[in-house]
Amino acid sequence: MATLCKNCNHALVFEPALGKLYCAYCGSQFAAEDVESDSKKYRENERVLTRDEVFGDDETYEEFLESYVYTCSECGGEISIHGTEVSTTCIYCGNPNVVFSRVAKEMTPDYIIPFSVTREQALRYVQQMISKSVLLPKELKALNVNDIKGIYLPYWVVNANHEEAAVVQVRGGSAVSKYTYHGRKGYMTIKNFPLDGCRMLSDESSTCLEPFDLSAMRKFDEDYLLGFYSNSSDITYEEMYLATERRAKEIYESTIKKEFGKNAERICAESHQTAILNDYKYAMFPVWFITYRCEGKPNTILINGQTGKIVGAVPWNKKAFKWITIISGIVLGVVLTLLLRGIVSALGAPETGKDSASSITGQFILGFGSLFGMLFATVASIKMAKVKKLLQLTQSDKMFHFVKKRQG
Amino acid sequence: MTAQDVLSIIMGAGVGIGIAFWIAASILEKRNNVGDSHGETYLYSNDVMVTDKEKLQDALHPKLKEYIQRVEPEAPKYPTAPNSKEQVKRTGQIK
Repeated sequence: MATLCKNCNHALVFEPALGKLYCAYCGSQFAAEDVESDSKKYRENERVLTRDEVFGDDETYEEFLESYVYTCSECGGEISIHGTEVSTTCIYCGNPNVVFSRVAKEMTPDYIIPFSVTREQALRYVQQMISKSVLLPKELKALNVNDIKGIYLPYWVVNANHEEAAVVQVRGGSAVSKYTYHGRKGYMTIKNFPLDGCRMLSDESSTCLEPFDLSAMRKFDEDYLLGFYSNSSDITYEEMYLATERRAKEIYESTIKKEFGKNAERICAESHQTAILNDYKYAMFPVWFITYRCEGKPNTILINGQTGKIVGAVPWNKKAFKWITIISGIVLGVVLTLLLRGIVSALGAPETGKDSASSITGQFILGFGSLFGMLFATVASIKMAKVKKLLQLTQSDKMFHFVKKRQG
Repeated sequence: MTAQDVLSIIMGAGVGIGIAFWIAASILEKRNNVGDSHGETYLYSNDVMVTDKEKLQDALHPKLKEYIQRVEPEAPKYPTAPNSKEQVKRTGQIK
């Protein structure tokens, strides 16, 4: 199952920096398309396992990770493949192995985007991101991140037609109603829209990895998988449809709202139809997964293996964050108090007996100041919610095990 | 201490902590905003063609319901699969 160097018979791996298959033993380089292998012919007549055959009918299949055992063609060691994995590394000899029956003709991808970000680059990006972060937990400051796996994720590249009638609620009406309502009917075609075909990876994480440059897609060849892990698709038509529908709706509605600029409040009513066209393509896209533990929690950072885009949040020291906010808040508060006291006494509060107009102005300033403080706190809460959501995705157990269950 | 002093202290502390919280949250957000953007609209879609524009009276107007009345699809939602729970196959393999 390993593709061998024709010069020295050692296993080849795909090297992102070169964009070719590389033999670490003799230094030979080969384009993936130029390498022929008898193993590839085996897959032509193999029947691919259906999802039910892999996972069974039980909906709780995620909890039961059955292994399929194959034999490494290099050393004869046991290779354990879980779920819908297609390629892996032998834990005994370290050689890459592609399970060709898993890429049988039925499920062979049409295209692949090879890795162009190297392992060293990916690790460097993550180290830089961590070193630039503030309020790091002590554990993370000393951490040397080196647990990294390159995984080809299955994607479906779809084209779809979307038709929608929507009503936009816009601010800035008359004295009678502060809103106006504008109906917009229309249609659009989505072309080359990438949909993640892996159920174990959340849609939110996979969409954050976008965009991929689809012009770099090449015709699929198993040799690109050498040295990397990969999975085959296991989503259903319904899941594919719902994901396409959701994104098509987002694109259409954000486009029609742009006409009204910042005054567009929301879509208050809509009706739509989405239809996926029959020319969807199956592809594999590269992603680096970097895992580490911090304060007992698993963390997984994703890096787009083509563009280097990082998806993930870095944990922060919550106690330090709380105390620094409170102490700096008190110091700032003291300064503002002295300032406000001067203004309020100049304008007059009710007790000073000054005229009622000044006292009302003083109260207005106090009230406005309170609102000001609340506004800052509200905006800050929205920002914190956004960061916490990204951290939640980063610390997902499911994603951590998706990566860690692989051997090697 | 007068009521004026108490009010000023409360005000000042509230605004101070609010601003400090906002600064700290902004710094955290800036450090962790990698991966926020999704693919841009222009990468995936042709231009949206708007075929009808109408200003409606209000949110509860019956005309609004008429306006968004569902259009019957010409093509089935799921591409050629009789069973939506079926695993997606390459189009070349669908019988």
